[in-house]
Amino acid sequence: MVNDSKKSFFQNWFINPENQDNLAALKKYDPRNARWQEFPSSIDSNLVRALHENGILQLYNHQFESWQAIQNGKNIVITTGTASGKTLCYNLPVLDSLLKYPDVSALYIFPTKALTYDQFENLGKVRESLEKLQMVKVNQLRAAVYDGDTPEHLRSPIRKEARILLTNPDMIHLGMLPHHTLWADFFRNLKFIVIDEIHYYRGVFGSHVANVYRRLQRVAHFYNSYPQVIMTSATIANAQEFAEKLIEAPVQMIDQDASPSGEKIFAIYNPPLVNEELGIRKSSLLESVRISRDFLDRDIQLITFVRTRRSTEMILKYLIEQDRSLGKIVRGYRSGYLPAVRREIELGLRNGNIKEVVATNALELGIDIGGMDAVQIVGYPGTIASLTQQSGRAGRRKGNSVSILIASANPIDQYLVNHPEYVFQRSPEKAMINPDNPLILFQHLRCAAFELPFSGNLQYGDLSETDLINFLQILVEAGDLYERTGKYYWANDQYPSGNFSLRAAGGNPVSLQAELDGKLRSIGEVDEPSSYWMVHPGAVYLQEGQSFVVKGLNLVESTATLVSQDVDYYTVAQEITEIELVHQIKKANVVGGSKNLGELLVKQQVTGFKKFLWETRELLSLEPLEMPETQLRTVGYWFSLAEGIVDQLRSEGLWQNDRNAYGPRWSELRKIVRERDHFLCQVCGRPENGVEHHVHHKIPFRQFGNLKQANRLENLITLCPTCHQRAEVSTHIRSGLAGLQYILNQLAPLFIMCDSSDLGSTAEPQSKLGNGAPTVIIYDQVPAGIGLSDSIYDIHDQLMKAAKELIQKCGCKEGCPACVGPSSEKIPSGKRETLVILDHLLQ
Amino acid sequence: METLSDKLKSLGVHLGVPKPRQKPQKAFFPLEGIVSGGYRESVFGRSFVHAEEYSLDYLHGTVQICKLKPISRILAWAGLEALADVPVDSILFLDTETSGLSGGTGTLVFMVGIGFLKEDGFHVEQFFLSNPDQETVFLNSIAESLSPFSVLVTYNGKAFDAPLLNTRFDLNHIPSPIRSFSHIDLLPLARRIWKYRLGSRSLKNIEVEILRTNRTQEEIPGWEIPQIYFDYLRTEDARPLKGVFYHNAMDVLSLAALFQFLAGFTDDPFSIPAPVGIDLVALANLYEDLGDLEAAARYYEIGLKEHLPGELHHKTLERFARMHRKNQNWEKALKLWESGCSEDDLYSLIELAKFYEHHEKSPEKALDFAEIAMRIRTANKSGSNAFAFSKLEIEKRIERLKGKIRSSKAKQV
Repeated sequence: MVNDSKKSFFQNWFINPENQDNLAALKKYDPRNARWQEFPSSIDSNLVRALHENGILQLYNHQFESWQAIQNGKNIVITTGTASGKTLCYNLPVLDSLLKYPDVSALYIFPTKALTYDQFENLGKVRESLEKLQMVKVNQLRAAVYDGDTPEHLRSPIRKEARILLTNPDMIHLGMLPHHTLWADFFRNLKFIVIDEIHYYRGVFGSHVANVYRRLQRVAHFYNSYPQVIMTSATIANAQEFAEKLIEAPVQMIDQDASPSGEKIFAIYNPPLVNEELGIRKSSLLESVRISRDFLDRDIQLITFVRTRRSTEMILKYLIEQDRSLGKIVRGYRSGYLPAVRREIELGLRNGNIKEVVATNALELGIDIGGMDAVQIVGYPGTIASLTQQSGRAGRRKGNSVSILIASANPIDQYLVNHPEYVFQRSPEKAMINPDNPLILFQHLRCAAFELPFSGNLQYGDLSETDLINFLQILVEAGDLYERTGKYYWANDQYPSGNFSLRAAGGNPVSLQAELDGKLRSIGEVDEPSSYWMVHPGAVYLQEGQSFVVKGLNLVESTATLVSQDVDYYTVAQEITEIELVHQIKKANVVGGSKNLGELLVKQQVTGFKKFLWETRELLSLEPLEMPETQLRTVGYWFSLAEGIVDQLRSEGLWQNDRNAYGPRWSELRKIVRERDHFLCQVCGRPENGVEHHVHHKIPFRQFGNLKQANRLENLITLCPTCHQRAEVSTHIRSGLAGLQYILNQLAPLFIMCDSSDLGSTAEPQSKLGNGAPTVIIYDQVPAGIGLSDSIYDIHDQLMKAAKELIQKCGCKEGCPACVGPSSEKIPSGKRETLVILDHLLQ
Repeated sequence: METLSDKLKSLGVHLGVPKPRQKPQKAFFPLEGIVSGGYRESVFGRSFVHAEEYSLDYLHGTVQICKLKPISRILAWAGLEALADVPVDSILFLDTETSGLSGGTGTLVFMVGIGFLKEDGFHVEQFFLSNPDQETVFLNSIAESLSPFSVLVTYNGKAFDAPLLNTRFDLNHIPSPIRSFSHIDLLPLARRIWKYRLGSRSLKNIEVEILRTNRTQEEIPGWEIPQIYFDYLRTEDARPLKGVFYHNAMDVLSLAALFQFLAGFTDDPFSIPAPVGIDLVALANLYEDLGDLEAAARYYEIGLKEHLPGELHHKTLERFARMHRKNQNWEKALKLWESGCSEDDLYSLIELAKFYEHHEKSPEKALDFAEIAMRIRTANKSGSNAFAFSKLEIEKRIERLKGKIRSSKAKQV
């Protein structure tokens, strides 16, 4: 489609009421011209000629800047946009150096295999041109991929000949460092380390990778090499700080994108509400199908990003059911597809034969497919960095493009609907790692000692010498190391890097096996501790709107067996959580209370589960379970309400309920209950004194779908007016705390770049941690913590403000999954209650 | 205040029981008091060496180590024909003891045992790393002792001992002498010869089954060795090391004995008492690969006359016939196939069918054999090679032959 008609199509599409009414935000980016620099004269002239051959006639400003910083001996991180030529920023100095000094070697580290191969091909093009120009001997620029898939017989030649080695952190950890003498020549000449897409290395994985980097440094130093580091990153709030934390050295940031782009629109689309009271919106998946059809009808090429492999298949199915002819031009793209199929799809996208690809984030990183006319992102992909990268797939050098985020009902999606500036202007999210997490450190110090003895200047990254010696002594006592005159030698017959994976915090993931289309298939996995409450026997497990019933959980084989079954009930695990304070790290007074950081011991045990009817939330049964207790020693943040506030809440009487219609039998029931309770208050024992006592619903009336359930005699109790008010208030406080817990847990990942499942949370109306005061606790779901809670402590105010705004702007009545969470029977969350507490926590 | 080790334990790290550190006792059980030998001086420092001599008539099991055998066949097998005139005193037998089996830079070589022949007998020298911080001295003194030799003989040394030693030398910035040796690793040869006869081709098992020698009470199992060394480092109690020295010395002796045995056996299998048919067939196969078809044929024939296990018998028949066919020796091949035919050997039947179809241009005769083959295949007789061909394959062959017969008849008409 020619550009003008494309432009007018987009204009019309956005003003079509069907779309316009649901647009939450829209940002138009003006076209941007490239800012060029001539190739510096110091670059090898053959390399310049080869780049000319590949159509690269000049450098963008940021590429030029990178070149200069590298020549000045700096480490750099480049954070310019998708398709801005970041690859050349590192290939340029590396190739130039290799042409001038053929012995030089460079190590390229990529987070995924797919990306590794893609960059390998990229590099190949320049090498081919150089070889065609007969400027270099075939072997001089020998580049090779070295990963788990590299055939055994190629490994030895690669070790001897490769000058540019493309690999991943896992391979360095498992294969290279423990055998570094086989790489002696490579390490002796190591001048550059390239770490691509560093924002990938956050959390546990990043904390491991930072330690792999420390070990890499030790080994490089052994061979007298002090390589420069070139990193790239998606846009995150703390790219430079993060890069510096990852490599523990000063880093210069290059963030001014000088590549050109055409006019671009970025919109946030919020599917319309279908049930305002419950906050239910139209399915974002179905909305995306509708939008796809609009675009495909007009020959607009697009990528639709979804979060899971299953969604990929569902959208494809819907589209093809609606129009069989789409089967030829619409394809899926996700992990699990064979490489050859992927290459074919990538080619189809480049040459325009494929019009739409429905993809998971497998297509987000690197992979060269050219710019698209349009991108839809179905549901916030978990981080702003991902969102930006996916959105960056739309955009031609010239011409118009659009990207659309279709919001889901999750709190972050709904928050972004009201805060598009986080998407359009500046990312609020900070990547976090904690290389000194004692568990992670412990594992890597064993590997490091295996690789080279600790001797002389005892050094390991930025770890203090005292801490290092402390660890080494423990390893000596445990029989892993042997110490003699201040030197520490590996003295164990194990191969320590084989003992753990960089990508898992530990524990066996439980694989979920379900019978689908007659075959037993894995539909996903959950970590073992979560399996206790998510997939215990009898649990109803929901995935993408499909319900499964768990038949068995085998913790020895780490599998759960599920059966796809439509049931009219859901299950809620009954869990006892007990939190003990191990050691307080920080405390500060904040408005309305205090915020705290400390080491916690979280003990949890699933003791049973309840079945509820979907329609009425009627309790069908309570079934006991025997699950192992889990213990998590971690770091947590908590805030407690000041004592005055609780009293204030009581006296303010904010929660005098609207009168509920308790039904025609209410006066009769009241009498029965009062009689049963001998007309005595069941809390303080006071008898009725001329005035009738109240009859209280233990579980609030509004939590029930029907009268009968709410008015069961066992849910009713006789209380004097004073005690009744107290009971009401504490119920409300519980509701408010539960709402806060839910929303903070859901919202925090927007600022601290993690999954909401990386955080655990709980609310305690009378908390040991808060000296009996109501308290909300959020903790790292990783043993010893990786810095998430530390950051939440720092952004306490910001987080409270964001939470309040989100709740206020949510259209639902009593709370919904998009704000304070759905009501559950254990502690029903209340929208109004949550807001009242937040009012006291904000000025 | 919580200690780091308590904290790690509470995080789920299994630190185990603290290991003993009994330095004060070291005066009581020093190495010199346990193993004879002493510290050899070099320009780099002192390093512990234990040396032992075995007289010219010393018998290791059934093998007299010092009685020389022609080694040309072993050299040919190893691709080292050029070394034909190598003097016997430049051959070095080597075995190491290490702190683990995984390899990599964290695995120490703490003992290197070498063996070599001299006019007065067989010499074994064992170098011992008394402490990791003495590694440079240890390695230098080994390098010095290796310099007179040019051929290295090991058991699994290509995959294990050599790379590990290279790693140790590299880490200490000493040029590895191992790289300059011509290396003969006997493990693959032993595997070839005893593939069908011995369940395990470990040196230990070969000692018992072939060399007929037994180790004394002093022997300790290999898997215990790393821990014995670690314990020695911590306690400096050298007593348990005695078994390690013994184990290593026995390995070196058995290695040398195995070398002599294999040299003799591959040169003339009847130079050893009562050679076994299975071994002869394996040897014939080796000769065939080395291009000595005459010798190969001789031992295939002897082997086939012996009572070989069913499957091996068929396999040998097939191999032997294939060798003839490859060399266009139709007469001999035919004889073998015919003998196979009488034993319901499926391979022979198919070969006969091929032979008559293509070579003799007699599809009728070929069809006969193909049909017999089909019957045997259908009967599923076990213990033979009745499954070497699928029914479909034979079916196709039969159909094709029938077609040929029809069309030639049609032509005649």
